[in-house]
Amino acid sequence: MIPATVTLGDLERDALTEILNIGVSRAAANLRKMIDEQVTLSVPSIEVLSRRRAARMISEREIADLIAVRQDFDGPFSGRALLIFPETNSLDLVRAVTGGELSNDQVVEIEREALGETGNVILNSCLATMANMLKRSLTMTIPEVLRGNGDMLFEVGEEGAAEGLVLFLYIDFAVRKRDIRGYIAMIMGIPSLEVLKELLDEFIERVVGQDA
Amino acid sequence: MTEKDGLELASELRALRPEMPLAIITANIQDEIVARARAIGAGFVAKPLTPDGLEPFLSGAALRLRSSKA
Repeated sequence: MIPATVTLGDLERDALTEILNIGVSRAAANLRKMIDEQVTLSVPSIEVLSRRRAARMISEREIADLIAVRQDFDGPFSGRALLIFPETNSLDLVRAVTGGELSNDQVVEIEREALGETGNVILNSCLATMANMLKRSLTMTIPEVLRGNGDMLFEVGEEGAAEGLVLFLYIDFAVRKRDIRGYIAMIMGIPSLEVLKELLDEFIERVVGQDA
Repeated sequence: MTEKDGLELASELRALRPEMPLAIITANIQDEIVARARAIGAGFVAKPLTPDGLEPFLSGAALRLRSSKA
């Protein structure tokens, strides 16, 4: 059962989708600059579900182990942003962002650093756009590179965490020419979702006036 | 960065060297960060870093250094 205080209305959902669209488009434009190939994006998916279910949504689609760049954010609302892709894509992405100039050994050597920096640019593009559009500021942790499955990335194993509801936002991205694909995901707890709902209402009022 | 962030460092450098050109190069493009960089008197260059992004800062810095020597 989802509490009414955190159920997003149609307009709030549209506003959040639009803000995320702008954020991930900026992220995609930045990734495009880094790899010089077209990046395609899906429409953002927005759901309130348990942490366990969120992890399963990623795990069900990915058999291979995952690699992720994680940045936590804090401010009026807080949560975790993740850039996730199959581990098998990791070195391809590093090759792509380094312009194909490095040897295989060099690619392996800088893998973690290059992924962290790529995640930093992509996740910050999304989070900073959200913060700017909602007229609030967020602090972000430095990027951390993780390997594992969906459960591990969403910390389903933490005591009492698995059934807790979260706002789960995710977008598929792909670089077709290089066969690279992955997800940008964000999870926020219920208290943050309540604040986010208020900020979305303020945003809607700024955009369409008080008639909405 | 756990102990000091780039903006704090820039602010300390600014106090020590008021004439030195400084730029904050970051992926964090929040309005607040841009405003804080401006308040310190530092340029703001967004990541990913590109020649086009860096060029205005470098020309400004070169001009400033040349005119301070003159």
